[in-house]
Amino acid sequence: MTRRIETLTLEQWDARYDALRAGPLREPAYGGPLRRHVREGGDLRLAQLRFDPSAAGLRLWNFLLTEEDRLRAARAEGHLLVGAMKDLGTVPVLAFALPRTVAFYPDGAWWIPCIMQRSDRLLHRADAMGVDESFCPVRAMLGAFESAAHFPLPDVLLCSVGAACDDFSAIAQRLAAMGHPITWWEIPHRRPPEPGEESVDLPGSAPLRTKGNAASREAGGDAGDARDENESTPIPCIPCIPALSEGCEDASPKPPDCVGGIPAPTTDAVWDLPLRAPRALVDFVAGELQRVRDVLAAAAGCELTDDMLRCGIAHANRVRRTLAELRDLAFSAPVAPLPALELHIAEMLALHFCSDRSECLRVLEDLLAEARRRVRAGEGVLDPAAVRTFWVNPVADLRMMNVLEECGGRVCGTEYLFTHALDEIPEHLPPLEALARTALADPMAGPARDRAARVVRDARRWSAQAAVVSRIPGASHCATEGAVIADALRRELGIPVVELETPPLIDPMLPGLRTRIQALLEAARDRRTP
Amino acid sequence: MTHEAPRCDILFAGCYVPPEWIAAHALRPRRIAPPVTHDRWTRALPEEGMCPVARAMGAEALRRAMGGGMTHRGDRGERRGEGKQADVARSSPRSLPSPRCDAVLEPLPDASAHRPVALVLTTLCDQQRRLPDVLDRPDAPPVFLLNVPARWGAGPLLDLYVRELERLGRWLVGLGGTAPSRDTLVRTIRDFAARRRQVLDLRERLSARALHEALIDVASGGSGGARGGEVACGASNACDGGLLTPVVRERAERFRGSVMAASQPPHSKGIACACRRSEASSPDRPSFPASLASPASPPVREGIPVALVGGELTRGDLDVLDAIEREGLRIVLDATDGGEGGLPAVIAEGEPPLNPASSQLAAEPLRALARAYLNLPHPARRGNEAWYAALKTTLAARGARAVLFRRVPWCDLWNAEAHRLRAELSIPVLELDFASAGVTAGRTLTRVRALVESLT
Repeated sequence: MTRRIETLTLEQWDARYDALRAGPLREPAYGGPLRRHVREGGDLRLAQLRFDPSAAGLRLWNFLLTEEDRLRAARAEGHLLVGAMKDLGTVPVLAFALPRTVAFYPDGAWWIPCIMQRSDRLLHRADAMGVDESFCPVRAMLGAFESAAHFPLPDVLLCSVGAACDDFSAIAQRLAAMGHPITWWEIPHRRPPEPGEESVDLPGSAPLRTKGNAASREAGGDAGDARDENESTPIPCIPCIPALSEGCEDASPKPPDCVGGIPAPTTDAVWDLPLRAPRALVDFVAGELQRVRDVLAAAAGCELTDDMLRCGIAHANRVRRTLAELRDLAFSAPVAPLPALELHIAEMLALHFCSDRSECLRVLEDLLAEARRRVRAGEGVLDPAAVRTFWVNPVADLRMMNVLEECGGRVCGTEYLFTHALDEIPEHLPPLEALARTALADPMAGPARDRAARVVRDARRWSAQAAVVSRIPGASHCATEGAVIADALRRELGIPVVELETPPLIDPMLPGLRTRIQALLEAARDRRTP
Repeated sequence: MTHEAPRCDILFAGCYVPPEWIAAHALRPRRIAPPVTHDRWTRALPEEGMCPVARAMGAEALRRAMGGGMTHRGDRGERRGEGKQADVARSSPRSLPSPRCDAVLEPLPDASAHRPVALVLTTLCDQQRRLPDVLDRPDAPPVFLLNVPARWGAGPLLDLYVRELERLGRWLVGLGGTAPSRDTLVRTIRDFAARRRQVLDLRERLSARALHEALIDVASGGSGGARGGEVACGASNACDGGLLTPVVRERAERFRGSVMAASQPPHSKGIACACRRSEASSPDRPSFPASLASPASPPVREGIPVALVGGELTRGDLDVLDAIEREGLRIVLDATDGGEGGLPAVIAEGEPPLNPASSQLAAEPLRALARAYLNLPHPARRGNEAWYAALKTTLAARGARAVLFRRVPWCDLWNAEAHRLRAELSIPVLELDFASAGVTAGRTLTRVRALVESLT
């Protein structure tokens, strides 16, 4: 027996907030009703969304929507503001390891036209600068820098280039030409090791810890693994890290044996995902990150030691572990404990901790606790019969995640282009090498087949019954990789897949998008075993 | 009697694949200026979001891998009844609604022209970097993806590039090539440098198309065609019909005339052939409205000096160059990837990057080669200030009065620079999107005429 928890509109949240306030609601300093973001911040899109009704959900939204305030406060307090660009998850780990330093992604401006329903006119500004809609919506970043009205301009800008994204690279170059000095660092294309070439495992390739199969991987490997094993050292004692959620009961259910007629995998092998890179490439990226480290240390005016980096990595891993647990719980529970929208935002927090690493962890732990409570209580936000859907690529319009659920779908697995920011960073390696391996695991750095393999593995892991490949308008990588991923899902799992494009505001295209999603879900339902 | 296996043609594009390195491995470098077609190989690749140049490259690789030459659909394609386009060609083969010659070229299997092919791409743009993803099919040729650093600089970036060239070398050996000795590499580098210099010495006497084709030709001639500094026609991509079936070759021969003969030096047969073919091919490939393709067009040496800036040109684009020059412009700088813009250090009017007298070349030829190419400024490198500096210097030196910016759909790295070019240059910048269909070509010429009028 499950109890359905209704998601709320913005109007309904007003009453809900009053009710929570009448109870034992304890809010952080950035707390308050959601509506104030519409009234004071112009975040008009909120009026079109449906939200999770929990206090944890409220805290998540408030944390997200007050980031600009945090950045301004940090600037006022004299903190170093680091603008990390494109690498999605690596540079902030280095930056936050420094004292009085805050990192954020100006890339995040790509959501501003959605959140503000284009009242911000950032895309218009980009148009006027010759970066039109043939580019990815991240072009909003260009307008944000020009207007200087959305986030304080960073003291230091670092951008990864190479095997990244042409749209972003071109836009960042325009920023540099506008007089914003950028330190570029190279992320080379991740190629497979050649026969006999020394190679190493990358994060994300480790087998998932299910059914005791972790040991099987340890027995494998080739010459390239030897260095890892030989250099393995105990995780250093880091006094600045509090104990990890001790005493928390793991409420995460195992993947169901059979969901909707699709048998869940029973062998250990399905959890494995070989992802390796040549040692030479890892060393090269480590060298590039050493440059990044030097730039950051010089800007901060203090040394960035290996111990500080290890501490930063441990902090990041704590966030990543919490998020991993949350995702696994949400994607594998019989009934969805949290809506797709809130889960999407939770994943985004892993990139740069939304400018506050400690608070980010608390927000995620709150959300995880709520999800655990609901799973134990048999509560969920969707119909138990909702079609388990794997979602590929982030959406420029958050409303899209609501639409999937309105159509009868449920997100059971995601690949938002930054899986390398979700996987734990190896803590037994020299810190720069660990970060280099993490950066090279970026799904955008390698061939589409690597990305497809991960999507297939995770879709199988969470027993997805359908998949949506959401194209990013104008993005250079979307021309080819969507088809590769879709083909792999159809071939390996036999599930229906649709490719659709999600613009910054989906409203004009909503009927068509809804129809396509409905058709997908119907096809998936028809495939279920009676 | 033993039959020697045919040597592999190594197709490549982009300006960071040194053809010298391929030729030194005793394989045939073939710099592709691909046709934009609508044949089955092109249709096999995604259209939306994929730049037409990358798509054409992929299609060309598939076509060549299957031994497909090019012939005119009007000759044979109609008999094969391949749909709507064949019908159009049959009904009116000389007054095609589309002025794009390439649109009516249909590849046909040509066993006699078949040589094994392989493709080398670079990581410098997403469109090329991701092309192997869609060429992962049984009928595709082997593909090598060369990691070219995007960041401008030296040191570890040069080391990475050298390692990549070494890896490319191993791959070439796997395809039947021979690892070059140091002397062979030095000799090959010097041959290419000499041949480039020969072409550049003729620059002012060649039409934009002829120069572009000659440079493509030189980049494709490393298989032994250069001897003692002479450009041998037999090794030339433009002359040996490497991309042409006998049908088209015959037509090209038929139309070869005396145009540009005056500019043909006695020692540069290959270049001259390229010139003649470029002029001759217009009637055979009516890619522009017939009224604009008149053989009575004025000599190319006259006109308002302008520069052409952009990425790779397709074969159809070359027809547009002819038409632009007939409108009264003279392209004094071809700063496209396949033109002077893709030659190491040439855009900066500097010394030849691979000075034959250089001691470094003799001591470490591969590193010298790598350095020369990696030091080539390009708008896709980060930061790209060096490219702007080089461009400004050359524009001034050549007296260009305007820039024709060739815009290609989905080419983010180039397209994003158009606005900045306008801001940084003190001369007009005219955007042209002539890589698309015939309607666009008409619009392109209208814009060109307006530019001519405004500069006159």
